[in-house]
Amino acid sequence: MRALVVYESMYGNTHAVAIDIAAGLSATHEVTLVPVTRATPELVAAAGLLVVGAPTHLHGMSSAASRRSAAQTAGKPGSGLTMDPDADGPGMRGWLARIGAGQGFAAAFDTRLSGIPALTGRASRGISALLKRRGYRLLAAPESFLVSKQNTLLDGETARARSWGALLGEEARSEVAGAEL
Amino acid sequence: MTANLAGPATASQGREAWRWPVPPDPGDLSRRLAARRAELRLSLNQVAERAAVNRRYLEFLENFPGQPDAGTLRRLAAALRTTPSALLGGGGDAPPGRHPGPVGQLERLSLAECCRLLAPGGLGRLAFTTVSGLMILPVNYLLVAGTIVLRTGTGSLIAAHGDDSVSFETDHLDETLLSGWSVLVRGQAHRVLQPSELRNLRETCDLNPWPAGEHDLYVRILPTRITGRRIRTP
Repeated sequence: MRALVVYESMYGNTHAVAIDIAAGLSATHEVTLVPVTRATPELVAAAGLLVVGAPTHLHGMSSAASRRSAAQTAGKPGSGLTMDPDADGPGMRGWLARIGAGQGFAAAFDTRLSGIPALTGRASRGISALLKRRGYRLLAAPESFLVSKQNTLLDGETARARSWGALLGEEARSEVAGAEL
Repeated sequence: MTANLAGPATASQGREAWRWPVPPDPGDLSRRLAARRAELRLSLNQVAERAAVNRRYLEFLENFPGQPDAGTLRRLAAALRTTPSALLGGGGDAPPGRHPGPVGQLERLSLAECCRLLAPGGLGRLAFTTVSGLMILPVNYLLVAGTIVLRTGTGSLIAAHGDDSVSFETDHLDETLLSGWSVLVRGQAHRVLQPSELRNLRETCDLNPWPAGEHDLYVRILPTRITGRRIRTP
């Protein structure tokens, strides 16, 4: 089965998480990894499992304004941040608004600051809700991967992303096969 | 004399306000009655009515070491959908599930359902391979960010296998209703040694294993497969 991992990334963390998730998925799936700017309807249609992730900006998915502000932050001298090569584009919200109805499996993830989810918000919840509305069958609850205030992934999150990918892959495969008891 | 007798009589008229004082040790039967009633979310009145005992007597039994006769105990057990011996704490030295029953229906649980069942945390069993064969041990656990977290002593057998490929199982089975579920998690364990991951776990998870002693080491299982079954007996 084919899996498509679509990510939006500003400083590269969501991109890094997406790479690890794709690595985990590769045990069970033929995986394509694309930034949201290059996730064409053809790629989406060909995938039996769609895994979608974006950074949490102001408690949810990014907007044009929040992306602009993120780019300005990175542009300041001494910020230590570099923009992901695919950072410019329509953003996850716009992409989700345009994808058509689907009936395959899907799951959503995000990156967010470590802390209580009620305070930081989670982009993955919004992504999940939109995917569900499009008719996708969600395999798992939205998952967050944690980033420090210095905008680096916390220790252990890389390994967790990989195992989450493997977990999704196994679940999708057994759902399709209708695994015996 | 008359004045003295009038005292308690007036007190008993203000019945609503009166509560049994709670003794330091209400005894096993009391605890089991109260715990089972709480588990079934029944009120004192409901249980008293079902068991045909006085509500006040039931309240007394839940707070004081009492000795109800066999008939009362049987009716209480029936009202609480359990057995008299279970209420008296019998069977503690035998494995659960010895009652033969009709064949239940097994169904597969989805990943989302499994995660929902794992989420409250509690008691599970950890399985791993040792040089002398497979080992299965009961452990207290919490589900943190989709991973199973355990605490153990730094010199324990679990610590020695804290970076192995492991399986983890937890279940809840109701012997009376012959129904229940089990969830199996397979994955890679690691000892949490990196400072930021350790700090994050210490802050977010309030995990206190049953045994006393030192539990300085956190072990985290990153699941790569989670499966579950539910059994129902009509």
